Amino acid sequence: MKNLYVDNINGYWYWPPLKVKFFSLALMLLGIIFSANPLVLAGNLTLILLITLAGGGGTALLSRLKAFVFFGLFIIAFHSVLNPANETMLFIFGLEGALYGSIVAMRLTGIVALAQIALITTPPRKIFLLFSSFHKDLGLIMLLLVGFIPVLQEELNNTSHAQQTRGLAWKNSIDKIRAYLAMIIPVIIKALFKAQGMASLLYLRGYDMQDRHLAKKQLRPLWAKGYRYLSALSIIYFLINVVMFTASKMKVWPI
Amino acid sequence: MNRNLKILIIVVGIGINIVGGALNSALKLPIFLDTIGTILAAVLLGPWLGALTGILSNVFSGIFTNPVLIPFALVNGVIGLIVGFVAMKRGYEDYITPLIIGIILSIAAPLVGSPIAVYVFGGLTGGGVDILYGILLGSSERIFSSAFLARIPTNLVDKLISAYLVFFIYKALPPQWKATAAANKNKEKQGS
Repeated sequence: MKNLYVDNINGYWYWPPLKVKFFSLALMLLGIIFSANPLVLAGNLTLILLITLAGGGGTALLSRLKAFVFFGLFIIAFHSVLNPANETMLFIFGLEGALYGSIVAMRLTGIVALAQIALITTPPRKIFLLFSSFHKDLGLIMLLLVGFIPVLQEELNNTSHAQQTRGLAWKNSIDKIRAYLAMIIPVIIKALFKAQGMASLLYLRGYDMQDRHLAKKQLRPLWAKGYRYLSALSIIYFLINVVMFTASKMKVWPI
Repeated sequence: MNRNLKILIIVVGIGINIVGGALNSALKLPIFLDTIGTILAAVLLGPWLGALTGILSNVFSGIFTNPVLIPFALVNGVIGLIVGFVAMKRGYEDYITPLIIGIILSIAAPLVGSPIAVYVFGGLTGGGVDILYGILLGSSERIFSSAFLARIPTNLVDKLISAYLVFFIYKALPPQWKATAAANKNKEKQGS
């Protein structure tokens, strides 16, 4: 299956252990999510982009963010025309709406950039190991899915060809819904049959509860020695953002 | 229903969510049709495992295609919870329960999804709903209300079709699946 991982051993973001990396990225995400101040958000965004470009995975991140630049411009344009808080107008474009749109676009780009850093720098094998450390069955569900979805897509393809051979065609929306139902129902029934077969196979291969903590042993703990600076820096980043957010809410900050 | 079969029904539910959403985009329908697997898993396994199916399907799609889908995992989880509790109370055998589920979900899913969409995306998702959202926003001057009302028609059609589809599939399941399904729990109490 297609995934977002790009192999580059020399980058900084490829070195930390998995839990430290995800914990620090989650804290940075929490720091961004509640900000509503455009200057703070712009500062955050440039900091994140600089970190990524310096730390490996930069070119892949920039190429993935290109689509979001267009979506962000669309958000800014939409809100500058249609936002109810528009007062100072230039033709049909208002200033307050453009400001609101730019805040939303910058926050969205920051969130997407952090998520992409996590996904570009982690091979899928490690992501499934992280799921397994929460509960043993979660990792099995994800791993079965990776193999099961291409089988479902193949079945959908075959069913689509078979139904079209039997005279299925669509022009307007009602026909499209009938065509959707005609194509998805055989796929669901076959998938339920396959589920029963796979459950028996799991039992035959002796899937039980003996190796409960194996995944937990394979991942280094959160306060692993050598990478505590990363967790500390992310906590400081989160606290700075929280201080700025509360300062702007209590009207201490001039903006 | 033993533990392995429960794991596999969750897997099938997530797979049908993803494949159903992909087919919906390929046919260019204005509705979503990406919660059929969640409703099926909630009817067969109960509310909490149905919610897990919903959350994991969005997380899995987010990891492998587009991380922008991960915030909407909450909507899918809430759909699993609601369907699970209603199916446990009423059973899923009569013709009225999918109608009730469709109407409740057409209000609950926009209610949970609109704040996420408005806060993270400014109300826009790049689909056909944006046109209706723009019309309502231009005339009513309120962001959250127009985002909420714009999503109700598509969600109504979408959830009614999904609930009735799962109803007809559940009706045709063999008895050993239905005997241990979560939707059957209260029937034993009412029968005895």
